[in-house]
Amino acid sequence: MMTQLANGADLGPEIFQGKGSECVAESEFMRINHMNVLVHQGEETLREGIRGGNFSLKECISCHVVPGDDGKPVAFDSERHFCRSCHDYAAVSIDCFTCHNSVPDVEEFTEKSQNLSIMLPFLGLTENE
Amino acid sequence: MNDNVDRKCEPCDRRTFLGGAISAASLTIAPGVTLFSIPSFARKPGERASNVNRWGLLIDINKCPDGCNECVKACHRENGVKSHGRPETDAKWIRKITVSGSGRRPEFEIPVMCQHCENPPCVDVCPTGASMKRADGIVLVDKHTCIGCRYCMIACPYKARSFVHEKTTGQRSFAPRGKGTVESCTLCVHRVDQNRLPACVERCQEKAGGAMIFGDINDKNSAISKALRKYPSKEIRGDLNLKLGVRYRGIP
Repeated sequence: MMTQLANGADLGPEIFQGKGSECVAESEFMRINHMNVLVHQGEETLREGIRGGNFSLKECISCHVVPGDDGKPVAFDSERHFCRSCHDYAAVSIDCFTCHNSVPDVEEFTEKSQNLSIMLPFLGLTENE
Repeated sequence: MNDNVDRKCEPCDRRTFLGGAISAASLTIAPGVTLFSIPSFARKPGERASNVNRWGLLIDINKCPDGCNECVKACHRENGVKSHGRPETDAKWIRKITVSGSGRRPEFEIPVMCQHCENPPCVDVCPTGASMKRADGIVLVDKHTCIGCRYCMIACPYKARSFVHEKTTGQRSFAPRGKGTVESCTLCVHRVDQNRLPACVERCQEKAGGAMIFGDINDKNSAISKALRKYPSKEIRGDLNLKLGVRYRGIP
C-alpha cells in the first residue's frame, strides 16, 4: 500500500509497531476510521455507561507505547509518539491529548484496593461467599 | 450493618468494619439459606447503565472528624487532580467546608462534592448538552462538548464544579481533564462500573472515620438504604427539591 521510491525506500511515515500481534481491527480500517470509532465509543462509555468495547483510546495508548531513551513511554510532545509519527507526516493536528494522557497509567492501585472483600458489606454478602 | 452505622468516631480499621457488617448481614439471612446476589453491581461488558440503580452516598458527620482531609486527598490522587499552588483557581472535586451547628458542635466540617441531583440544575442550564446525568443518577461532564462557559458552575447550589484554568498533565486514563472545561466529582464512575467503591469512601473506611457509605439507593437491601431507613438524614438545601444522591447524617 505504501508508495515506494525507486530505491525501495518507503515514502510513508515511520510507525512504531504495537505490542500485540494485531490491532483490534484491520490496519486499513483503523487508518481511515480510528477517529470515528474512538469518538463513538467514548460517547457511549461516558453517556450510556457501556464498558468493555473494542475501540478504547486507553488501549491504543497502552498497546502502541513507544519507549523513549530512558525506557519510559514517550509522551505526545515527542516526535516519536505513535500518534504523532503519522499525524506529523499527514500534517493533521489532534487535540486528544489536551485532555487525555498520551502515556499509559502507572498502575498505583494496591492489591488491597482491588480486593472484593471491601465491597461485601453493601452487597449483603458474607466473607465466605 | 446497623451497629456499624451507629458506631462512634473511634479509629475504624477494616477488619472491625467488615466484622460488624458481616455479623449484622448474616442475621438477615435465614438459617441454611445462602443469599448470593450481586444485583445492583455487576454489569456485563456492553451493557448500559440503567435507572434500576441510583447511586448514592451517605455521610455521617458524627464520624467525620474536623481537620481530616483523607477523602479529599484520595479523590484528587485517584483522579489526577493536581494543585498549582493557587487555591482560588485550583480544581476541587471535594471540599471540606465549615458550617455552623449548635450545642455540642457549634462549628463543624462537612465534605461537599457533587451531590448527584436527580434534577440537576447544571444539566438544565448547559447550552451544549455537555452537562449530563447518566441513567443511574451519576452527573457528569462530557468534555468533548463542554465549551467552558461555566453556566453550570453558577447554577450549582453546592459550588461543586471547578473550571480547569491551566494546562493539565498526568491525567489518569479514566479521568481525562483539560484546560477550558468544567469538571466535578464523577462518583468515581470508572470504579463503580468495576464493582469498586469510590476512592473517597474506600479511603474513609480504611484510614479515617468510616463516615461514608456508598451504595444503591434503589436497592432496598443495600447498606445505604438500610441506614437511610433507620436514621434521619438530610439533603443540603433539601428545600430546592433537587433529590440529591448524597445525604448527610448528623447535620442540624
